[in-house]
Amino acid sequence: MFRPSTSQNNSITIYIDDEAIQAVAGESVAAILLKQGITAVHSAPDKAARGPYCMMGVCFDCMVECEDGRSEQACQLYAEEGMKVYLPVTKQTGART
Amino acid sequence: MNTALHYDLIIIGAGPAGMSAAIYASKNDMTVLVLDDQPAGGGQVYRHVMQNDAAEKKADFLGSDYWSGHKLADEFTRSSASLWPESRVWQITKEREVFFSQKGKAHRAQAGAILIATGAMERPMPITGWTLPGVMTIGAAQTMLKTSHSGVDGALFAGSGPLFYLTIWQYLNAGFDIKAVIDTAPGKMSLLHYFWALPALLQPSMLIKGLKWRSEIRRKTHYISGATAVSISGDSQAEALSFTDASGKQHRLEAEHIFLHQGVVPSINLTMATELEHRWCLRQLCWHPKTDIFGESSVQQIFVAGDGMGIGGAAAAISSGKIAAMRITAKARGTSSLNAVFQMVRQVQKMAIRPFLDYAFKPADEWLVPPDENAIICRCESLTKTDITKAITLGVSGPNQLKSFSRAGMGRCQGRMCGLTIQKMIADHNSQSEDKTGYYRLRPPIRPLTVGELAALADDTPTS
Amino acid sequence: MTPQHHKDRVIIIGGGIQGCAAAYFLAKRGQTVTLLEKDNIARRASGVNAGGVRRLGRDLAEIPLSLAAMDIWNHLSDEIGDAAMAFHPSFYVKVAIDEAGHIAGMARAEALQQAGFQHEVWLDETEIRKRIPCLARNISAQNMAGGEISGGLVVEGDGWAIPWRIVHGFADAAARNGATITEHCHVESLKRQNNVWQIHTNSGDFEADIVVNCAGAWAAALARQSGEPDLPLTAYAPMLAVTERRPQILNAVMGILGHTLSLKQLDTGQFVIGGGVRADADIHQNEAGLSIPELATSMYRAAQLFPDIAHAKIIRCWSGIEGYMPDNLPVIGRGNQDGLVHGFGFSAHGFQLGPAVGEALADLVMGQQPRNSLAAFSPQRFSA
Repeated sequence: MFRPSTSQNNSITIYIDDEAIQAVAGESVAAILLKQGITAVHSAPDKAARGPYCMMGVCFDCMVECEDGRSEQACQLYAEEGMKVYLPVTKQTGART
Repeated sequence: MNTALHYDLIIIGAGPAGMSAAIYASKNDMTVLVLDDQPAGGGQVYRHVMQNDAAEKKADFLGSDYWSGHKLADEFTRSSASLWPESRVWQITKEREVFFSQKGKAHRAQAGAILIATGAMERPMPITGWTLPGVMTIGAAQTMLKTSHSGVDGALFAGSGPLFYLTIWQYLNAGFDIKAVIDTAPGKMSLLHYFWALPALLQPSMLIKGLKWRSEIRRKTHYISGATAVSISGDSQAEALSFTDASGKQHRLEAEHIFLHQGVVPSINLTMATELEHRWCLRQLCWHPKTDIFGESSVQQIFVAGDGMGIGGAAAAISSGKIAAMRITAKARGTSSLNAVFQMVRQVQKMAIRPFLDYAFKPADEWLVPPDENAIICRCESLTKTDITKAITLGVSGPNQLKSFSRAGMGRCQGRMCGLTIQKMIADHNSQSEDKTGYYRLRPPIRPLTVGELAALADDTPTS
Repeated sequence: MTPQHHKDRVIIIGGGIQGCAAAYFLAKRGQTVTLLEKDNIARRASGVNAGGVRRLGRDLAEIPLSLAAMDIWNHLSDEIGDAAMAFHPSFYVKVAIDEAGHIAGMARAEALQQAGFQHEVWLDETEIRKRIPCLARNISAQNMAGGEISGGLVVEGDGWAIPWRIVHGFADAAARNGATITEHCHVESLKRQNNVWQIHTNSGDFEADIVVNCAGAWAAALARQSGEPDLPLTAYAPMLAVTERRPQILNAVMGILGHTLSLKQLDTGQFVIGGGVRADADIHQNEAGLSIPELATSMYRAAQLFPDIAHAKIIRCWSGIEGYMPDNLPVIGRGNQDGLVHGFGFSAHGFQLGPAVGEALADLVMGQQPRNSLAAFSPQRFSA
């Protein structure tokens, strides 16, 4: 699991699949997930689990769902107090052609 | 429609090239808008440098090269250029209209000139198991260090290249245990390549730095060189990495976190979707936008700078950003571009080491196209090498036609993760050059935007 | 045309749905046929259109042809085999969201009844909602003009197809029946000399007794070059967008009466959104324009019908190059010169017609009477 090498100011609470997590304000959701030991986030069309890979917005394998139904790249989504995200890997959608 | 914004110069990307261009142009009374994905300037190389500084330099382990970016980022922050953070540019027109979304809202802006400084991305390394959770790029590992001061103990590192060694060195500095470093660099260059690499001697400090990283890694980690046939296994998470060492012996090392790297390539989605002309670079095995000596592309008043025009590294990017800004300013003012020409001399010096790096770390064929037929090539659509081969043998002339045949490149990443691999597979199959094979026809939007964001641009929608 | 041409050499120019369907029906009837395509099969409008297989809303003149086409679509695997699986029949709905749409829809239903057509009917709001439960309850609350959904026109059995696969299906079936399909073969000149067509291309010269012009957006230029009178075709690039995969909410292909929208959800869960929005096209450079902001209204309309679509991410947009006629009706019929048959100008709604047009073109080539009147599509209608 990713661990910080310095002390961290976990000043906010975000919710991952409705579970409260203490996090650093402005940190990317992907980084927060990794520090929670969560590597499987998204699910590919073949239903295989995927997770943060590039951390710079190019691979689109860290997609999470926001409260309003929008999907975002977790590595491009920056944590704010009370933010709720859901992991598609826990609720797969769409059929493969 | 939202009220259009007007700027003399719009810069896309606040990395070294974008920031240095913004500083120069704004100092010379140009109105400058900078659009960047991230919450602050820095780009990938100086990512989070301002925020880290505000936290009293807690991240010393990143080294002096990283911290040298602070001065640039600070000067950029204090310049009159306006940065719109967390902005995703999804279309540029040849008439220099820029469309982008910021926090769920789409905007349009008009520019006198545009500078595309979208930098580089890591070359995809499509080996067996690279899609498993727990497998990330070396850049991702470094991003975790920079933005979260976080790493994992017991990880495996497989690949080669300057960023590979730098990040491992930083990992050691930060006090993380490394299980093993599996170096895939072939370790041999031809005599001709040594000849072409001679200019590297003009940058001895760079060479020494690299050797220092490598020797420290050799000393402090379980280091295996000359590795081939690297593959990752695991059920729903990376579990182990297998490879063959230089002597032909097979190894299997267990780890839940594995970091891969095979160098970096220009991010071409924006330059290609803007229909700038590109050429295939045989030395760097990637596409470069065609530009003049100042960075002006095949479309007038659209410039490219930094790694996005060809991999040159941070120092060269700073310089090329400045050259482009000098030229853009001179054109706007109708003055001479002589200062840009002088700047170019420095630019050439800063690029001296590049041929050496390109030859020394040129990825072997097995990292470009996996030998394993079951390896996934297109991550978005979960397509294996077999799927792609099947489509290619139907007789495709290029990657674009392969899209409809196989769905490769039709997913969210818009070909970023499979484009180069598929291009090479088709080129090899058709026995033709990469240049002739071509790439996907990339079209806007180059970043996904929601239906709602686009709907809000509908003309008869009242803006609130 | 005279009967002695029956067993002669036929060359079809253009590898879109019309050309490939014509090649298939000709080959199936034992005719020697070669198809010349300047790019790849289905590269342009035929491969990249929205894939709507739609009888709904067609011009009265087109309906018989459209119904005939549907008969073929419904037994498509008999013709093109497995490729027919790319057709997904469901139903097509055009809802009324305002008074003008309601009036137009009712009038349309009435006119069709009087003309004796049964396939397209008006359903009231309750019926529509029963069929499409996820349809927005209240669309008038939003910014843009609109009111309540009051009902809509429906055609059962219309649907969508992956256009590229269908066109390739016809091309492959044609080849299986003996047709020669030649890609990357660009016709540079077409001239009739001594009752034979001389076709000069970038990959050799061809001779033919009969030429079928299915060159889409390029067809008028080709016709003119061959010595035909000018045909008023304009090329545009209709645009489409596709979203990421989303949960299934829509089993119909949808439009809105009086407004531009074409909306469907593929079996992957992706929405395809477009409808009448077109950018400029350059037939000389093979360039199809693409301006994302122009698609904004279609996006607005899609989200109006299904608010959840507003959160779907658009991951790709594209456009094709299509030929439009001033009256939006295709050109299907014999040219002024002997041995020339036209089938083009489908004005962005020719995909569904393709199989029947292919059959009709085959009839024209073989000097037979097509089973539906083609009078409304006469190439000569513009020269009056």
